[in-house]
Amino acid sequence: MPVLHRVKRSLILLGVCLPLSQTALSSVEASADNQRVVGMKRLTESQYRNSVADIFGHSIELYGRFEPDYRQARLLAVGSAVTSVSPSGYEQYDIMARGIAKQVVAEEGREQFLSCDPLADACIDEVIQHYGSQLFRRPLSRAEQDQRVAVAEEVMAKGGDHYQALEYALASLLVSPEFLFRVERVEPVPEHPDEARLTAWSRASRLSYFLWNSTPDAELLAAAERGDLYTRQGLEAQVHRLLESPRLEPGMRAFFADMLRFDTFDELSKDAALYPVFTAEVAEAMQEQTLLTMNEHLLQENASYRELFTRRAMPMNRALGMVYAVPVQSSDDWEPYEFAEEGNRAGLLSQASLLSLRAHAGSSSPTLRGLYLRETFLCQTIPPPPADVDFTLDEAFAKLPTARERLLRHRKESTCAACHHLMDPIGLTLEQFDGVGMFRTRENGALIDTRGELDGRQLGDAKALGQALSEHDGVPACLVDTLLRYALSAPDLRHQRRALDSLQQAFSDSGYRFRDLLWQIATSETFYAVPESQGASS
Amino acid sequence: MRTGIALRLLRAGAMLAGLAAGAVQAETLGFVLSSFTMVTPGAGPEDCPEGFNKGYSERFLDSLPASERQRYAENQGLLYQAQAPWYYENPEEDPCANPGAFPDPGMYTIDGPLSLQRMEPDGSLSQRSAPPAQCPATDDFTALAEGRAIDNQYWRVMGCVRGYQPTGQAAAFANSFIFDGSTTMLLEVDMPENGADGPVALRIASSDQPVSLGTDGQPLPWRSFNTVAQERFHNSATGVREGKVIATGPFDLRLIRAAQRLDSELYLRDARLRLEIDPDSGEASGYLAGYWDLEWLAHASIRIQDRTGRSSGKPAADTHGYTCPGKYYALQRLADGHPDPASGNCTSISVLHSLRAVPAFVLDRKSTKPEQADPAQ
Amino acid sequence: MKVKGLTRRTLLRGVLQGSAISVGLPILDVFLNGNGTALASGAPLPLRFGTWFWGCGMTPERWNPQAEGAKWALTPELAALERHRRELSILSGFNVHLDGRPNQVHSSGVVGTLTGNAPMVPDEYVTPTLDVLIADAIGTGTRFRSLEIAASGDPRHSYSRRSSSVVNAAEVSPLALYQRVFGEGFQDPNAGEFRPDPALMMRQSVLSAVKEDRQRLMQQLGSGDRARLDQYFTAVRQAEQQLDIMLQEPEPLAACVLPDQPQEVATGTEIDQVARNHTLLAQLMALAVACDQTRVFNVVFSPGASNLRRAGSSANHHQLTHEESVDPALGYQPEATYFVERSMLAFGEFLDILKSVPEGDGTLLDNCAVLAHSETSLAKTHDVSGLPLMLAGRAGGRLRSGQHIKGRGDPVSRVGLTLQQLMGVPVSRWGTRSMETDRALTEVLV
Repeated sequence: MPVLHRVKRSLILLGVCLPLSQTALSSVEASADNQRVVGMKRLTESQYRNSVADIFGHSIELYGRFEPDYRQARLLAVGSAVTSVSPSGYEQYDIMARGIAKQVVAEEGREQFLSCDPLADACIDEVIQHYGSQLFRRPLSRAEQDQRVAVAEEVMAKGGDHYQALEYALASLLVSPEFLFRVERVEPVPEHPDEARLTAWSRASRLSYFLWNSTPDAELLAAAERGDLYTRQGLEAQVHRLLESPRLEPGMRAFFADMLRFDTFDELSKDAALYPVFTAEVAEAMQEQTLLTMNEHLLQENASYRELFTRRAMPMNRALGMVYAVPVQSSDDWEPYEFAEEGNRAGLLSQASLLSLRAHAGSSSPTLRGLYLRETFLCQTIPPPPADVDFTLDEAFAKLPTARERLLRHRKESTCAACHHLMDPIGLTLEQFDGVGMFRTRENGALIDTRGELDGRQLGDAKALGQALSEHDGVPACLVDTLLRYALSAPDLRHQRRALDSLQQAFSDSGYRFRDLLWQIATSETFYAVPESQGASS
Repeated sequence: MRTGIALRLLRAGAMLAGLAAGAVQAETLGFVLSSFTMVTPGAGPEDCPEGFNKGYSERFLDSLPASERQRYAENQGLLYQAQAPWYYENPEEDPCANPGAFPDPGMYTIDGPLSLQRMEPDGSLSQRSAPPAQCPATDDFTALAEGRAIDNQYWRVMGCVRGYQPTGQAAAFANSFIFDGSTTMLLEVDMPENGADGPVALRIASSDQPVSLGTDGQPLPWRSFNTVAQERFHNSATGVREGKVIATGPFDLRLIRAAQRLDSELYLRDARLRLEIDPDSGEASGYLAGYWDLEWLAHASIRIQDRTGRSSGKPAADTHGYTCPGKYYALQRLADGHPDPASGNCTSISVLHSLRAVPAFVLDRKSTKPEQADPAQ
Repeated sequence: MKVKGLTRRTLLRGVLQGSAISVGLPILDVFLNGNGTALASGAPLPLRFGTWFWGCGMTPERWNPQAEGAKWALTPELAALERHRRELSILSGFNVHLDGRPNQVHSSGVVGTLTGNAPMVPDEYVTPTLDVLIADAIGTGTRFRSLEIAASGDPRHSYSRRSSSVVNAAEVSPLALYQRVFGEGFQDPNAGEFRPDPALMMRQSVLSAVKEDRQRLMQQLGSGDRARLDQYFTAVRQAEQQLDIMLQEPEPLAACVLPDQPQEVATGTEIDQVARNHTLLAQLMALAVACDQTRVFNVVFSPGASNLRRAGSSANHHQLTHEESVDPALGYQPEATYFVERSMLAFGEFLDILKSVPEGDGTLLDNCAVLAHSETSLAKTHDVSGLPLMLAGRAGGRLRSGQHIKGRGDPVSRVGLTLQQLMGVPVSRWGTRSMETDRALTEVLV
């Protein structure tokens, strides 16, 4: 496979090397006493859903509400490393846990879910072991196992039957912090007891939640148990397998949605008189279109990330046909669509999802769009407006017909201009797209001027912006930064500067192929490194 | 018909291939109707000297001595019992399913000279006071249709009906059938090149795909619709564009007319369409005049039959305030189109509709490849 | 502790932006036990669910408020509910999506709202109605799984159905309702014997296993994550306390007062008579709920295609909606609208009655969620878009009231899903075809 070949070569060139030691050490053997926890990441809603579906099958229904995921440093993945569980959140986890366990032992589910008859000797023990190791992403310790058996015995002592006994034992696994959090542990390196390394199980989890946004499958757990994840060959075989799996696409959807902040779509509301097309169906289709586009471009075609900003092909359905004002043949499916070369749309930024997400309820917003673009695609931060902004001038400007004229107000004061010149001129190129991304040439009767500027480059319109972004070196650099932070749940990469540079270089060498970048990260030392602050043994 | 579809596909294909339309080809505009209502101007003070017509319940109450009325007034159930059955098992017994088999109880209609909107042969609307239109002689209707203004004689029939006043039930119902998805009507116009005046071709067809409603509750523009497969509900017309206005020559029109329990057709003969397209919004508005076939009128508007053939005519007549045989015979009397060669009786009645439409993509049900398009067009 | 004018989300943002977080997300659930949702001992009062139905909808321009959120202004047809505006939320702009199915007049709206499915034929209930689903979750421990009353005098006026053919018939006579609830077989809850639920004890053993997991994890943890695990542990402890309380003998239900046997009254469809019977039935119903004889109640004030009428008038409400002309000066149908206003007046009285029963530190209404709904918006055209819906009560502190929420054409099944989740029904998606949804109305959830 050519991708793999190219990647391996660059890996060696860059010195992003893995420990070459072929000593396969089983971390199960290592005593838990020697282990320390170095990270706890609360499963996001989608990780919880995927994990349960992968462990118990997709027929399992989840009943309950999830606590909102928390975003830090622009990513939910980073927030997951700092959130915990609230009482009402626990209540919901408890409802879901009992719901899942009930379905597993229910008469109609038994054949599918249970390998033995709970009335038989040792069956309950066996089932706990089977599901426990999948839910905890590692074999249960003796004590953990015994406790679940104790739960089962207690339930029977209180009058429950064998099925109820198993049901409650399973529920106790599903509300355990060992399931609700991805608990990452380190252990001493056998040859160098004063050095620490991630346990093989923690490596496996990191890898599968990164690439699949879900729990490790049996094969990955088996590889961890064999110690394969400590050898380069073993690790590469697994990474290769994960990258080729159909689970990669749903896994990466989570990254794309996280990076683009699609979770904030739920809070989005548009004025019904101005934007009647923004129905729930259309809002959902907008997000889907962008996720499908990224999937197609970055994963299926493995095309250059830079070209995502000039790509004219995007999937279309009837709901979106109304936003883009284009015909859609299929009455219920997505179909391929390509905007004309001389048309006015190209690239990710001309998609209705991004244009709607960063706009007001009743108008577009060059400022919000510019800010979003800098944050999301260039990884730049712009400070919030100062607390003492004088808004008295606004009224006079508010009456002006186009956003360009209204935004002149920002130039009038140097306190505003300092930051707004970084945002407004970008957003002004997108002004021919209204608050839900529909095309227009006039605002309040006045012709819209789409000239703008990005980092000194003069732009004529949205397509020029797309072109400029596709040629901007900050854009691929930002993707590498975001993806690595996503993989590590890291708020910043202060301690990974060198690794980041190597990855940037490798990404560039690969022609900005996303799959290659995934490979680079998933096989890098940095990805499995013990977090800096926790590195030295205490 | 055939060439029309071909052109449509050619254009859709061109757009799919990412080519700009309009440079070489004539532009085709598509629409979905967002409003389609009969013009019912409302009865003036002198129009109905006898008052409004009465429905079954009112007639029954009127027939009782005053002392007996009260107990029916207090108990609707009792009143319906006395009127039973509302729905008949046997259509032969149902005055609404079979109105011609019952005697004429009379119906108040607007019989004097009336000033109301009519469509002139050039597609313009005029409004002058005129007596009821007459049923013409058998042999010259076709020739006559060319040069005759299309009246709104149907309003004369229904003008003294409570439910057909502008604030009444009929007007309120009309567009609910578009909004609730039971009736979708599509329109396509092949415009002359470069915005010039000249001949236009139009196609009107039914779709079984509901309109999409926006968050403001109104039909959304730019949706794609497939036409229904039945050839019967594909209609075409030719006309002329002059400035903003398009007016067609006479054409026959059949569209699906479905609503709540109704499953019927609208069949207009020698119809004319007048359309104005607003260049800013892209929306269209206009009028459709024509001769409503009495058989289909009775099916849709007296018998009111559903998919199982059951008639809702009697409760509907009572709600609006008329009787089915009354309406049936009044229609015969005032019919002004298409005289039957044998009997000389007119078989259709003039009616005027107003309409509004939003831009839409009209797609054929069958997906034929663009290269199969007829080059003759 | 009480915070006004802040949503949980804004509060959260404030907390999180303030400093580095080591605490978990919503630490604010202490708010859950606001006033009136718990007894002095901390034992939660039972949660109740009710529906209140009136026929023939409303006049959209006169009923729907304009402003969204908490600052909505009363409209002419909502004026009668002024004193309750803080206790109820108005939901406008939610639709039954017909998806090309025929509009079964006076049926599609109510069936769609209560089952999330537009019927193919009139009165087709392919799944149980909302109240039945909720009763299956919260009503199995009481004597009656649910109770139904119809002020309009016909036992068939009930939209509580397990299927098309299994209808929970309504009580129409106050005397019959009294005899059914407080007559033979009535057990005074304050004199009853307490038997703890074994399932609760089984859940206790789950918690002990989880606490040990946490203990072991704690030993391996760096200080940074300890606070997070503590937060988790606090949540577990709270769950444990809840179980402890539920296993204790409950306090007496102070609000349970046995009513006197009412007189037999005539039933009918004349509006004043209906309103009087509604009051009598609702008072008995409130006491039945306060005495924990049922936790789910369904009230029909008037049926779909409402047959209510004014004395001396031959046309009933339904006829008027079709036959009465729109008054050109007023812009609406004054006679038909009279019935809408009377219906809202009656709903206000119903809420008064629930509020008149003290419970805990608050009232019975605080521990209820009541869905008021109708089968159409504008009945004249049988319109099933923009249905009028109201949510009243605080559901033990779980329901945020006092808001106007615009559905903007979203399926009405979102409301049904929200209420089920609020009442603890295990459901994550609900409805069929384009009404299938997993989006609860987060605006009304505390």
